[in-house]
Amino acid sequence: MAKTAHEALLCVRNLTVEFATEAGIVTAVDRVSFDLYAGEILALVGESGCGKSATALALLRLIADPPGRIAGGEIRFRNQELLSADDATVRDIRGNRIAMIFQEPMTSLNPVYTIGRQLGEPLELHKNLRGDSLLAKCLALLESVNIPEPRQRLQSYPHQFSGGMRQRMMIAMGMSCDPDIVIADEPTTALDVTIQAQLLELLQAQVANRRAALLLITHNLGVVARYADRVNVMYAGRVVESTTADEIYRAPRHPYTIGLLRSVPRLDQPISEKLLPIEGQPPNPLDLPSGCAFHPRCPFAIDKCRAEAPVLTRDANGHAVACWVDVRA
Amino acid sequence: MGKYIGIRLGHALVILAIVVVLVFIIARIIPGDAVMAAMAGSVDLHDPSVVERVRHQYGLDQPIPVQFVVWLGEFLRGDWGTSIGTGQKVLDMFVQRLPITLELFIGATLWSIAIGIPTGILGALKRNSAADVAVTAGAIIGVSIPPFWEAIMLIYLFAVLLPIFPPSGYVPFSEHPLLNLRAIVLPTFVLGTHSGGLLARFVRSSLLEVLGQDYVRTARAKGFSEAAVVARHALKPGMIPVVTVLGLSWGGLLAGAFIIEVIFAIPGLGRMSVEAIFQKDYPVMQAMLIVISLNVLLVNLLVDILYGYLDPRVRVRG
Amino acid sequence: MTDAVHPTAVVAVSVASRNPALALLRAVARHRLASVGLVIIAALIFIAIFAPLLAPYSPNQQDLYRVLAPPGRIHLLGTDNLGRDLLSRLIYGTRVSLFVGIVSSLVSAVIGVIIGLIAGFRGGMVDAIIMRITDAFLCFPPLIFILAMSAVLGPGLQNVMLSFALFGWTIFARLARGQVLLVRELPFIEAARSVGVPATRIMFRHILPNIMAPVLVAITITIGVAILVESGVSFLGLGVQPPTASWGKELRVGFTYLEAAPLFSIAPGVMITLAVIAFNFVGDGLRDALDPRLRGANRVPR
Repeated sequence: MAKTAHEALLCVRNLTVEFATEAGIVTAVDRVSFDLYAGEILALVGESGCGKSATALALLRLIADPPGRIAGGEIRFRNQELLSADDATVRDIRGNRIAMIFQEPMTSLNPVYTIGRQLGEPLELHKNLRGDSLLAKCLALLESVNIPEPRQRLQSYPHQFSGGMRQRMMIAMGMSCDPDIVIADEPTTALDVTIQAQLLELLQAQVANRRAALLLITHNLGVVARYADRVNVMYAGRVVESTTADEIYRAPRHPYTIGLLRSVPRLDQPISEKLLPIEGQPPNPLDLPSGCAFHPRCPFAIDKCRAEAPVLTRDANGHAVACWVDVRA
Repeated sequence: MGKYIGIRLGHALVILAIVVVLVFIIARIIPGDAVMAAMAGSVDLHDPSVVERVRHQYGLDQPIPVQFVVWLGEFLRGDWGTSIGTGQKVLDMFVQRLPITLELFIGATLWSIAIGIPTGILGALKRNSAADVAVTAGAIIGVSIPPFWEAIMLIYLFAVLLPIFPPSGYVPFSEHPLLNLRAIVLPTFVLGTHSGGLLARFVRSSLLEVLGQDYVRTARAKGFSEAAVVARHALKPGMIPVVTVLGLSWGGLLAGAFIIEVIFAIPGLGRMSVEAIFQKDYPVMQAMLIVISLNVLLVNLLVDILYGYLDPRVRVRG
Repeated sequence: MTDAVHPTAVVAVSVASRNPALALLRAVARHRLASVGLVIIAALIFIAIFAPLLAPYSPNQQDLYRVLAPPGRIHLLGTDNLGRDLLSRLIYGTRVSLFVGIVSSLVSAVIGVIIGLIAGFRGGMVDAIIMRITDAFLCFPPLIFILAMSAVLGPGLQNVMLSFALFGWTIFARLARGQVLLVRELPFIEAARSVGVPATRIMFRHILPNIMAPVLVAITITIGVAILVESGVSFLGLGVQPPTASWGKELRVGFTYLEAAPLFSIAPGVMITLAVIAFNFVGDGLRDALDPRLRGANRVPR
């Protein structure tokens, strides 16, 4: 999906999120910067604990405070800075201009209210729909996500649905106000593999129909390959590589990305090719290595990596990497 | 929903059956001949022929299961026996005193809701603040204070030192509404603080748990204000366990009524029961035990049904 | 789950893996209210043990020249209607309350947990019957049950403890059974069963240790309940028999002479309240400390 405008819809600069734990302060998101353009699918990739979900939550100021805290940075959405905006502005954007789809559909839906009521809430709140027009729109939404017998479903409770259907309903809820940006935080991780593909197709279609941008949080490289336009790879709270999806697979430049790709089976490689896991353990967020957080596990590490954290630098082709070593050499 | 109620009802009936047997054992079998002596007035237990005669007269020489059936039959027909202490029909005594105790209960429940729910919500919304610590500590004190001591203290403060309320006594509502209300303020307050404390803690912890749930976060992500999030998505799930608490504290109210009625000299069911226990008035005791357990069963059943209505997940699990 | 939880998870695991008993005590002590409770309980135990050394007079010693005396130098808290020193009686009363409370609670716990284990483990008819029986007992508030039993069995402390145990087991049976149901399905139990470990061994060696946490909390809180119930029964006159001193009994005397000697009504009540509060605080602290660390805190985002 080509970028339809050169001006970014969302500009994130130096976003920093901290969590206070019993053993100290954890910097879950460390000066993260990226842009999101209208109509594109941007994937945020990384292992558990790398800060990708915290980044997503921070965009809508949903970080639980305490124990979390947005410690710094700037988030511009259509020229409106979000971190310093007042509550009313942020509330107006939530669910309306920027929507979020969470990972766990069971716990993310209120068990004591019907699907219909919860589905209709964003419409009630932002579009002032009531009564028949609200009902009609809800039915249309359920149909658009391929939920059969929508009329009955509206009266049902979340626990009466399967996981896949609940997630479809979450998608419908997210799309209901035609948002400019949809943030999907690992939308299929909690679901069966067979349903994952269906759901992602659905999500992609929905987003394309509305020409919305999708920020897709995932740890699944396969998903990235299939659906993403651009990719940001995160490690230990920092963005370590950022480029198009094609480029990431064709010519990854950060040692972590390379390691990730080597440890995942690929159809375009011979079966006999060995899977190489990345050496070492994911870093302890309370005790990050000095300099580049990846250096203890990096086969290319040099002295500078231990001393100084590399900065994300973009080359002429738009491929950005945070690494002191040029692995192409 | 119907099936859910049906199962609950079935359980309740089984429990009732066991309770009835239990009461029979406690109030008839264990005391044994003492019951007989009580029922027959002052009978000379040392004279075997007298004993023989009285036992026959009251059907006590029948095998136990037969006695049980006879007794049960009488009870169901409304013949609860005659009180040894007052000579009245036990059923009449109950009917007489029921409205009085009922009034106490209603007053106590009102107090406990008024005290418990707002403080519980306050504690949850302002977690770990000074207000919250005060709420938690206050709730624990409310539950820990012996009700009889609290009553004595309140009597001393508000009836002896500052004669605002009467230290004891009761005036029926029909006779003099104002005096009636004045008389029940202290007793209902004491009863209410105990269950109010329990309620506050439950409301607080339940609401806290709900506020930490993912679906509350979803509600925020939709753009609701904090107040709307709490009101629309946190209150209903949060209040559900509260229903159980009201049911739980019912037993406490019953026990409390015993002591409070004695202290405040209120002629209700509680005082009647305590007097019966002292006088070993077994007919009254039996009736009291059954009425109490029936009462508790009913309240629990109601709570279960209400729970099923409020929380749709429960209806499926049954 | 979102990344928001992970940092805490890392920490919690590393702390808990060291000595669990020490970690537990530390966690409880950190809980403000619970540490207050622990201090009070320690003080009460001290008083109970060293009563003969601490009490200025023998509790039954009658000073008929100073009947219903107000607090003063000779008798710090005054005397009762028979001239007995209130302070000494309260000190000795500590023994009664603690003894009754702890014994009643422990006996109920032992009986109840065993029955609950059997009910939960066996399941089926046995479980259903036991549960209905406990339901039946639980239809009676504890105080009422014990009052009724004291009418039937006669007054006195032993009967109070007996009656309490006869009633209290139900609470522990339900608790233990509920816990067993949760633990029963865990893989290591299945594994033990499949290897042929006998049922009783599974119940006591494998299941029991894993359900002790809520049982401990329940025991603590039940001690508080038992103390309340005993003082209530003694207050009404059916508990301790003269001349033994009990907090509840002293309160009864106090009530009788409320206007003449108000301190008599205040002091015993304070003791009872303190004791019950202390056990409730500690029980609460235990419960919080034993809860899985990752439960949702009140998370209000900005």
